[in-house]
Amino acid sequence: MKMIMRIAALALFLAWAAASSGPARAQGASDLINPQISYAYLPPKSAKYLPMVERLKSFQLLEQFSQLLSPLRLPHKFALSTRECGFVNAMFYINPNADPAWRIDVCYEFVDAIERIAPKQGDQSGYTYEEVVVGSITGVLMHEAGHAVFNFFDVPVFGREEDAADEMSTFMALQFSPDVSQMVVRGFAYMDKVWFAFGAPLWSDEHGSGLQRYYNTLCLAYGADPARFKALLDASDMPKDRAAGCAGEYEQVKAAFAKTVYPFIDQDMMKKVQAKLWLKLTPQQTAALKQQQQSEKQTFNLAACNLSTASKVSLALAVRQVSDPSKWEVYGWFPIPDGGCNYIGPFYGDSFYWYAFGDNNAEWSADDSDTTATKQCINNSAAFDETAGAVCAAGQQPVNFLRRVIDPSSDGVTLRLTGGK
Amino acid sequence: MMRSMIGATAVVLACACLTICPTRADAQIPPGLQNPQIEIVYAVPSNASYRPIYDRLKQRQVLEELRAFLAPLKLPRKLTVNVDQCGAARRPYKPQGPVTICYELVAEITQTASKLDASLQPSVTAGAFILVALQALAHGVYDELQIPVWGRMEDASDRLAALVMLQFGEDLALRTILGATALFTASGKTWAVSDFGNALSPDEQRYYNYLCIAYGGAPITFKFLTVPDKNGEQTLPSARAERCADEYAQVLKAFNLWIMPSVDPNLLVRVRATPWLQAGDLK
Repeated sequence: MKMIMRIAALALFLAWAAASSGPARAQGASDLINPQISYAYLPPKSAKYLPMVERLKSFQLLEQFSQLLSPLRLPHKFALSTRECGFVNAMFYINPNADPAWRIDVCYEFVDAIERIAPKQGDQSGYTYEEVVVGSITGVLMHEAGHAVFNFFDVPVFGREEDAADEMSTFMALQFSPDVSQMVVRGFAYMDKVWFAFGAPLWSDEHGSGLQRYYNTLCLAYGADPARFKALLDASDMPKDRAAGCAGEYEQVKAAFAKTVYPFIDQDMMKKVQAKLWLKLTPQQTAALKQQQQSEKQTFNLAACNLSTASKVSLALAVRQVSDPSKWEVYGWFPIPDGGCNYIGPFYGDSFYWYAFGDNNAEWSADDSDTTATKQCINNSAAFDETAGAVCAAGQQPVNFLRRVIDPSSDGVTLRLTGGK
Repeated sequence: MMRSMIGATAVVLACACLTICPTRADAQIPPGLQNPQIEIVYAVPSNASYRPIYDRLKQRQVLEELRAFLAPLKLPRKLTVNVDQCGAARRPYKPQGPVTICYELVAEITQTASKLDASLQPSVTAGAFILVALQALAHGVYDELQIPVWGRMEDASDRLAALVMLQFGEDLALRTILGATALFTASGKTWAVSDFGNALSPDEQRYYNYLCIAYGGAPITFKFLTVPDKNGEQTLPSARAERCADEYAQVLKAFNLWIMPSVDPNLLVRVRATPWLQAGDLK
């Protein structure tokens, strides 16, 4: 199963087997029909997702995506579904017991998480809610379609397949109108930078870290169209030597596509697909997005400054998980430069907990009498990333984290570390 | 977290080397194994501190040996492979070459190996060097043969280098993979935000990529990577390990489709029958 992100709850996927025989429809009214592709908005078990299902239907998400993929000369049937998964993800997979066996699923939990992490009203990130929600979901579908294409056409992949699927997603987006390419690139980039970059990178994972994926996406877009994506690149702090090679990276992907995928595309159909206006929202759809945006809770930006005499200060955080805000995640370490500040990142929620330490036994922690504090496990000699409340493992020790509540009217929080006990 | 695999591998490697690792005074280039399309250059370093490396590589005929190793590869045009002073550990490959192995990186390998047990230093040094050389060469091969590459080019080159080194027996696979991962483990580099924008993946990630191809291609030889330690942790976590056979198969499939047609099968058999990378190499 190829997925957009790493997950821990794969077992729940099996529970879906019975639902796979749910209603599937042919593609919507259009001359962009590929009889091998079917789609279905599978009914959620949780009532809370019902409005989302209606929203996705009104956007004709799967109808549009099936039309987008219609030029592919598919060797067999292929299904697109939205469903409640029990975990947060989107994935291409093969289930020999389902009909058709080859499938892409987008979980309602995943859409929910995207909607939560997207910029809120008054956000200063420069990204819009609309482009993040519509663009990133489209980009994710294209990523999964990349895995599917590699599988269907037995495409040889020398690099890591997850990176290759990201390349396919970005490359596909760049073949459409400037509006579409901007929306998908920006949406996918925001998701990588803001969501997937949460927590310490898991280096053993087959996916790149969020920030790597962010830079990869920007590099391909800039390589394809330097004028259009220069502003996005300039804001990214990408190393100059990487930026200088982006045109070459785009050419690499273009050549790979031309040799390994292009022969499997119906060119007449492809011209029709490229000529169609995609991701053009109606006033009603825009209004629905705005309404959804207003219902979301805030995200906040966090920075930290070391104004103390201590050196080599490191910060650990306990923050709400994006995928499940009822759970908290504890991780470290974020280095804070001596006498300087570091931007730590964007986070989700209305509060967070923090702990820091530095050389010469400097420490910032809550007193035992602090009733707002939380005791969590840390490992002060290595990076760690745990669900809050876990029993301390070997090499870990419990410490008191300080609580900080976010002022809803502010853009974010800057921790100013002084003193230190 | 990335862990040193020196301890676990050392036992396996030492056992293998007891029987099959003679110490050689100089390189023995097998007669008839040549690649006329590969030109080699030992550039004289301007920095005197690299002079001993230059002397050693030249005396050991390392590039000549590498060229002989690549004898089966039919390249459509000349490709220059040189060792040079780059001003950095790596010089990015540009279309039509040359492929450059930097004295700075060789020095880094030597320094890393010097921190290890003396008995392991030759293996780690030679193993790391050969993978670094193959990784650099992979860029040239992709370019020369106009091979379509999906995924980040540097990772694709790592995977190709790892795949190749698994085709020449257990001892060579262990030594090269151990050498490469020892280099990554010892780097101790920390990452700032913009570093994630580099074309070259972080050492920690490359470490697991190499181990995964190794385990996927030789699950018995590298089984020790998945044996839990006293804390229940594996060098290669299960979540990744279970996908490694597929990852290996994926690179092998790509190799067979795009590179094998450019490989002379008769010369390949001869290369595979030749004992490469002896314990005294690069010492």
